[in-house]
Amino acid sequence: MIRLFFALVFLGFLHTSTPLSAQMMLPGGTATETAETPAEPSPNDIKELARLLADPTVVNWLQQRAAGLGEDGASTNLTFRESIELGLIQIQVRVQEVGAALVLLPNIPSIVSTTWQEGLTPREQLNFVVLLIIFVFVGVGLEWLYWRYAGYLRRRIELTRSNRYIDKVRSALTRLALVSGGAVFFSLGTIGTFVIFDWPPNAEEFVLELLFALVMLRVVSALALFALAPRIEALRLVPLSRQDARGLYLGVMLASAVMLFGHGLAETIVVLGADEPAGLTIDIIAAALTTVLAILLLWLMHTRSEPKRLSIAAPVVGSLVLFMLFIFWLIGAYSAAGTLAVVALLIPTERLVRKTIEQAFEESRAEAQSEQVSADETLAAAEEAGAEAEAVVEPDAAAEAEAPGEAEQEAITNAEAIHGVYLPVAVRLGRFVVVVAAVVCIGLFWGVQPWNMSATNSTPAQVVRVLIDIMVAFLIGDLIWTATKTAIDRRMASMPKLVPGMAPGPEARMATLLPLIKKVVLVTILVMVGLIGLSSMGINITPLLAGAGVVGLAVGFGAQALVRDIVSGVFFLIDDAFRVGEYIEMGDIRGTVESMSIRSLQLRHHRGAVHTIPFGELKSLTNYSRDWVMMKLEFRVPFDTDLKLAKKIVKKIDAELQENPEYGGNFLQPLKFQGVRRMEEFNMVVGVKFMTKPGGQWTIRRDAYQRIRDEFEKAGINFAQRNVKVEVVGADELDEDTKEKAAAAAMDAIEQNVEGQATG
Amino acid sequence: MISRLRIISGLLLFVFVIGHLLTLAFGLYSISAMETAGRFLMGPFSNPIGGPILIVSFFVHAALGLWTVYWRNSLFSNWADTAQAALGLAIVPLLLPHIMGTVVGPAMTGVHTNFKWVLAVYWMFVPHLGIQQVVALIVIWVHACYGLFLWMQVQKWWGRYATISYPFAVIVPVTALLGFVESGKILIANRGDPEFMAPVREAAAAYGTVGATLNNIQSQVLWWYAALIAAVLLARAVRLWGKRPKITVTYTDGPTIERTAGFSLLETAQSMDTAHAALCGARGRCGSCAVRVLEGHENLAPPGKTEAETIARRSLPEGVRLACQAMPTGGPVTVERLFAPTISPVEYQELLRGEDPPARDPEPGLEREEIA
Repeated sequence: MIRLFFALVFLGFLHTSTPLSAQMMLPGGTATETAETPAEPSPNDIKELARLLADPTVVNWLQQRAAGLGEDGASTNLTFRESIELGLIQIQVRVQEVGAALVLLPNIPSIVSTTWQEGLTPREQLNFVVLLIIFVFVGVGLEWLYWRYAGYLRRRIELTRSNRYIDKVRSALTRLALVSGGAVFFSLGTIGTFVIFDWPPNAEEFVLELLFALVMLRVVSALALFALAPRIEALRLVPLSRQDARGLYLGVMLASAVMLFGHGLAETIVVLGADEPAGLTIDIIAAALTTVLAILLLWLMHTRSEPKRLSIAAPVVGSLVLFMLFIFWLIGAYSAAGTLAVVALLIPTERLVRKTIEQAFEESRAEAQSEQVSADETLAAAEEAGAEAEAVVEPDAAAEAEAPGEAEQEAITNAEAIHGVYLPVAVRLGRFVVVVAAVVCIGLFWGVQPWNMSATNSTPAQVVRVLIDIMVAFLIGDLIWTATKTAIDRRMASMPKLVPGMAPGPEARMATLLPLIKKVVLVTILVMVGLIGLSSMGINITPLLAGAGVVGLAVGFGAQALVRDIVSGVFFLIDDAFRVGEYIEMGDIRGTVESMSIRSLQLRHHRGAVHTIPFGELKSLTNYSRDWVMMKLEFRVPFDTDLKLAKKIVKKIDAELQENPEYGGNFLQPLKFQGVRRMEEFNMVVGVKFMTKPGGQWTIRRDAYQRIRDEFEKAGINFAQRNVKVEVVGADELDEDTKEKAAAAAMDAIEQNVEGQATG
Repeated sequence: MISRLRIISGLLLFVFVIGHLLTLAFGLYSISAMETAGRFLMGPFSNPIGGPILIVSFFVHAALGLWTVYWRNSLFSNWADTAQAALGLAIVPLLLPHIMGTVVGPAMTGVHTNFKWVLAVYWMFVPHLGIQQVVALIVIWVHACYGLFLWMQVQKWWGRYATISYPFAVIVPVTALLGFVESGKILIANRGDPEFMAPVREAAAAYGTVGATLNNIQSQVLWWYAALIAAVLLARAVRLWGKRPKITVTYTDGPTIERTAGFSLLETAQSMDTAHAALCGARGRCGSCAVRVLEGHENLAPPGKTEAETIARRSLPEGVRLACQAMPTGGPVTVERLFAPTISPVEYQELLRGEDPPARDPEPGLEREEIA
């Protein structure tokens, strides 16, 4: 598919580069050049002219005249209707001329031969062949000389393979400069030396035309060589296979040769005395042949492409466009032809630019990777050597080898990230440039100078102006939007997924902010592009803006609370006060942050309730999920407890807990026995503490309690229990019954005391 | 010996051609200036000593050319050499009318040839001979310069004179042709002047009597020449007749090539578009095509005299052969190029003088790409 478009591109280029289409491009240009080509001025005349031009008064006068002409041109702005009428009249005239020319079509060979024989004696004919050979030889000789000095440089360029696209472009440009230098020397040798001689009028026109065609062919060849590089993959700027590039190059050269030499022949026989229509007929034949060649090339490229294409739409459309171009040229609708060419070339050019940009990115990325890989290889090789030297430390070497592998991976993802961000932007930018260039071209065809539009007031100029404004606004908006979107999307895609139970990283905050930013940017761009479009259409947008301002004010007052929520929400996010997944508490509300909207925050209480809190309501909040958690446990033990034993036991439990595969990793500081915290009436309080990651403390606390209790029990340490010793004086003498009663009374008293303490 | 003879005879012919062309260049001034210049520039070869030397050189050079055609195994392996041979063969038929008119004609009639007459023939009387003559000039000059440059490129002094000698190769024929154009214009402009045209009339009268004889001689020479070339080609075909064994040449940094035997290593490589330095044009003089034979020494014909001489002169190490001379006789050969395919004569000379070798191109195994 893409190849056909390249073919179109180059054929279009061909159309614009040949002298025939140079005429075509002139809006409303006359059909053919005037028949009487004035005689070549003698050297004396030229010297005289140069002397006159060097005179400042003459220059001043010329400038004034030119300025006057410019004013005239500006004041004679035609109305739309008038310009259409003018165009139709021109087309009519042209069609009549073409009709007259087509009548001559069957007689063209005889006309050419009779003109040739009548215009020149046989001796002159042969002499001209001699002249042609001599001057072509002079040109070839000078160019050979040039290549003696430039040839090695060119071979260097052609034999060096550059990896980076920018190097490729640089090499191709250097080669273009070199090849153009060769063409310049050739034209110097041919046309340059030819015009030095003083020739009789008309006699040299024939030779000059042919030499000119040759030089033009060289120029076309240099440009085609630059873009296609048919034989050198390393310099090819367009993504074509070798075969396709060669085919396209040959086709372009053949078509341009037909066009150039046909036109040269047409000019020559008019000079030699044939009628003007005869010249036009030859021009038409040449153009028709070129069109047929171009269409053939198109189909050839289509059929020869390796991946078989199902759709024949591209060559059909291409052929149709070429045919229409020819017809437009034939009837003299040059502006229409130019517009058609530009429109037809728009899509393929855009694709070409996109492919080229993609290729450029691809190549530079591949290069970055290969560099990385080679660096890795050298590292690996070095390590291999090390491993051989000390075969004993093999596992170490293997472990080391992994490290650069990871680094490489990282570098690649890095490079990919960069390319991923800039590639869509570059593609959009390329499209932007192509579209703007196309619009400018079309404007030029219709006599509208985009850079000078304020000077013209015609209807098409205004339409073009509005279109350009809207398009530029839209494309710039599109560019900004793509850049933002890709940047944000990639940023979000590169974020690690939130794992339930794990403390979220700092990216979680961006995960909240980025979609918001994206929406804001989109809306802003849409509104701005819309406003610019309206304003360039001539609609006054000031009331709209003012209205929007008033409405904004009213809404702002009404939604003060909402605005406060949004703004304070943004600031909470900037403060990094909480993130999705964190456990926070504010006032008496607590829970895990489940989601954040633009206005409010949703917390999930650990019992399942969901709290929704507007950001504006938040004054201060407590975050339980940051960095670390310290947990302190207390036990009451009797005064006679062996504290050293207890410490040992705790240390043992700590070791066990640290080993635990489930939560052992959550420890930040070990379980420590802190000794006696305080003494109480009947027991002493010993402390145990540990530090964990947030969220990991609960299970550890559970197990710690359990194990400490079990181990203490085993070691014979009993937790102090609340017991009351009632000492009854002279209890030995009491009988059992009285003892029981006393105990019951003491019990009551204690219970009452305890209750009193509890209530009091 | 043969190559020395060839270059000596070629140089002698070249000196004459330069003199002749410079004479033509004086046509840019006037025709009488041409006559005067011709007396000095072409004089040394138009006396009883110089004339025979020139003629002998011509025949020796032509014979050596045919000799090469006979011994060349492939005539189309290298387009430059093919073109050189074709140009050389074309010189005789192209130049024959000129020789007939300016050497044989005067010898028969006794009329001293003059430039006005020759120019009148080329520009007025027989214009197609003018085309032929211009083509002949170009062919001779290209043939001469190509041969000369091939010879000079491997000389010790070449590096110093290379850059200044190129313009000379262009200026001489260009001025000569422009002189030819200008003098023709002068002639045509003055054709109505009886006094100016007097020498032309005299010569025309003299040639009128011998024209038929000259034509007769010319066509006979052409037939004999064609027969000679046909005989040489036939003899060559007979020499090459016979079964050729298969050979396989592997380049360590390039492709593997399979062909029938009968071609030198260089020709084999070039036939498969493999770039290979060969500065002297496969004449075995320079040694820039040297390869190190890694495997299959026995599958190459032993070095000939030229090769042995060059190897000794360049003091190349053991196991190195010249690709342009070494003939694979059959079987596999593995070789490695000693010099980068892109090496320039100047770099090569520097290398021989022991200066810093240029870095080899990173990709030596490139295919032979378009080269201006």
